[in-house]
Amino acid sequence: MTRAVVHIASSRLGTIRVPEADLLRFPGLPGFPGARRFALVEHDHRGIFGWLVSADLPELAFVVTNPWNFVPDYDPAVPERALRGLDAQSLDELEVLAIAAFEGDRIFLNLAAPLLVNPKSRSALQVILDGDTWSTRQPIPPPSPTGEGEPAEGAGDADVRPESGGGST
Amino acid sequence: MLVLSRKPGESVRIDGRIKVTVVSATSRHVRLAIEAPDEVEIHREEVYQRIARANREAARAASGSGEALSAARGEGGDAMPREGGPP
Repeated sequence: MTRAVVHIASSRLGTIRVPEADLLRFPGLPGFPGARRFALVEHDHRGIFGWLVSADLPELAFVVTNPWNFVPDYDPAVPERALRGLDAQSLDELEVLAIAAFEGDRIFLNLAAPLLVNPKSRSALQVILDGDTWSTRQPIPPPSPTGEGEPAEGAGDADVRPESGGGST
Repeated sequence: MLVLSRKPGESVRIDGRIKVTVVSATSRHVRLAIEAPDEVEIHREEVYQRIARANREAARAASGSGEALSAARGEGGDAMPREGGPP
């Protein structure tokens, strides 16, 4: 049973094969109460962004990232009941992901409602933090091909540079 | 939809495991006490709807092909976020 493989016909990523035991199990998400099982798939080769692909609603996928990649002082006050719901004593036992929204050349992170994952049990939930300390739309810098320590932009990659040429198409 | 009348101090029981008690009521405010298992998510409706909207917008954006998303993958070149995130 645990070796069963789930095939997800994702409208965004094509067919994905994931061992059923590796799927993350949510109690549903706000806006998508029927989306309970998700596969976490790497998006880029450095592991900054990942895809969270629904096994229940093949047209549903989110881009996610570790929020501390972009917001080093992120300090979500996760309520005790959310920890208990994932069989965790503290946030240290859980993986934290933020949903990213891509709009043209702009990226926003939802820091008000992070995803919590228990890596051992694969159970997960989206916790809605109390208060308004953290935004649902925290802008972050777009990926830059010209960061320090990076190779200078390679040949022929102008189409992936949001900052080049001013307006977007 | 079920509509019930309750006085302060009275409760309703939902699904055998959720108890909602009216703590106090005025003409403008009702205070509710909710007892439920940990796995039951409880939110003010407008807060829940704000997150639901954010999720729907993020899902819609992910189904498109934003420039930044393509850049994050490094499509067509070595266009990646810096190691260690933003400056």
